[in-house]
Amino acid sequence: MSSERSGQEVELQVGDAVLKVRSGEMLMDICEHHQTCVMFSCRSASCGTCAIVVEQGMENLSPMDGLEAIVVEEVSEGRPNVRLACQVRILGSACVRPLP
Amino acid sequence: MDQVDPVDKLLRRQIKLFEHAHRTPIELKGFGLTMKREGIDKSKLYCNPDFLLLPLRECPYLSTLRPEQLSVLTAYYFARAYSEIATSESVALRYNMEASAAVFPLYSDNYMVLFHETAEEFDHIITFRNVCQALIGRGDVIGGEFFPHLKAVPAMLERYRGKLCDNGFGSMYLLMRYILNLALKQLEGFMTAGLDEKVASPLALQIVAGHAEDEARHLTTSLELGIGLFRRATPRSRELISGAMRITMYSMIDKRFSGDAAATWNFETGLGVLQRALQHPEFADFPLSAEALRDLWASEGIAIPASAEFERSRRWIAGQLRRLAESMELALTPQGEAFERYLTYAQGPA
Repeated sequence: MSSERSGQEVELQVGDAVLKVRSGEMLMDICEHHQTCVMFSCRSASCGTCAIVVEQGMENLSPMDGLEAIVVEEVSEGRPNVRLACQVRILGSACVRPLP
Repeated sequence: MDQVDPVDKLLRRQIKLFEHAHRTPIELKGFGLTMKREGIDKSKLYCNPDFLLLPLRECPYLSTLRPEQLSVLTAYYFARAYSEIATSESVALRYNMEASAAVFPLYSDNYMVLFHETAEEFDHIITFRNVCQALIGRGDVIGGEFFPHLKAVPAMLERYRGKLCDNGFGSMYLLMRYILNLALKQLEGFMTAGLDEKVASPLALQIVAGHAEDEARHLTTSLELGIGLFRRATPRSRELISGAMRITMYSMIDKRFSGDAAATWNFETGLGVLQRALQHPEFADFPLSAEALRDLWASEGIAIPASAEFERSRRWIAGQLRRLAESMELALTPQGEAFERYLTYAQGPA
């Protein structure tokens, strides 16, 4: 995570909700705090329940690695720009939706 | 034996996750053994005290607990949580292979997914036995006699044995496991939430994190494989499973979503833990019993505070129940105040 971008206020759209959040925060924590519509079972990139599609701002999310890549490959079924909300840190403005 | 189409999507993912788990194994026994060696570290907390739903700030007696007493109280809660989780896992052991053998070809990928999960459960049970020995001095607090409500799952499975097709039996088992699992995971997932790492027992946090990661796969397996088998079951079996799941879900909603925190299962659990902790030497000078405290709270109008972690866990359970109902296309009908509250949590903010 880029420390110089951490803590700045950025705009995040989750589904239809537009939120002002601090960069560096975990997307799942933001969703939980704002009671938005991303479902989860674990927080360990194992269950794939919290899969989201990044509609804008993929470059503003923390990079994907390890277990997340394995799970995303299976749950995305070839769709692009899928991530797991439990593994993503918000580094700048973005727009995400739950995976249909 | 009914023919089962492989649940390909789930299987591919699970197999990769297991391969990953074998490359970077998380064995928990070491943590349990270390904890057993150390006993209760009275300078640390084992869970967030607010998750116990006790009036720790509002009650004149509890608000003056010493840090060591608070540590013992949370250690007892931690031990209680994991003895219940271990009991639930011992139920899973019994039926995992049985249901698997009834539905899947021996050593098929589906069979092996459940086999691997069974092997993991043994590691967890050994770990939690050590945790209980460390914190409450007894490892033999795992089993249905300590947690009678966990007998409901085997009882229900036995009641339906022979009345369900093989796929139906597998589905019933896995969906019941899902319900059981989410009840326990909310305990595990939220009892250390909001706890400052500086005051938390590092071993407790490692056990929670390690087990939660392992267990996450089981939750997904239970739901997706359970639903897959449900769709392949006979109409009569689907009808029976739907009825049983409705009853189970209503019961869970009643126990979890009352507006009065003191009327919830979580409060009763917290009170039970307090009752046992008061027997610890650290509480030798404590003047009242748990029952006397409860009476005092009632007579003095001391409310049971619903902590933020408790509220988060309720939202999580509601979301999971909704997900199950939608996956099974189950219509749940309103059943009073607790049900209305569940709906509110399940639907999220307007």
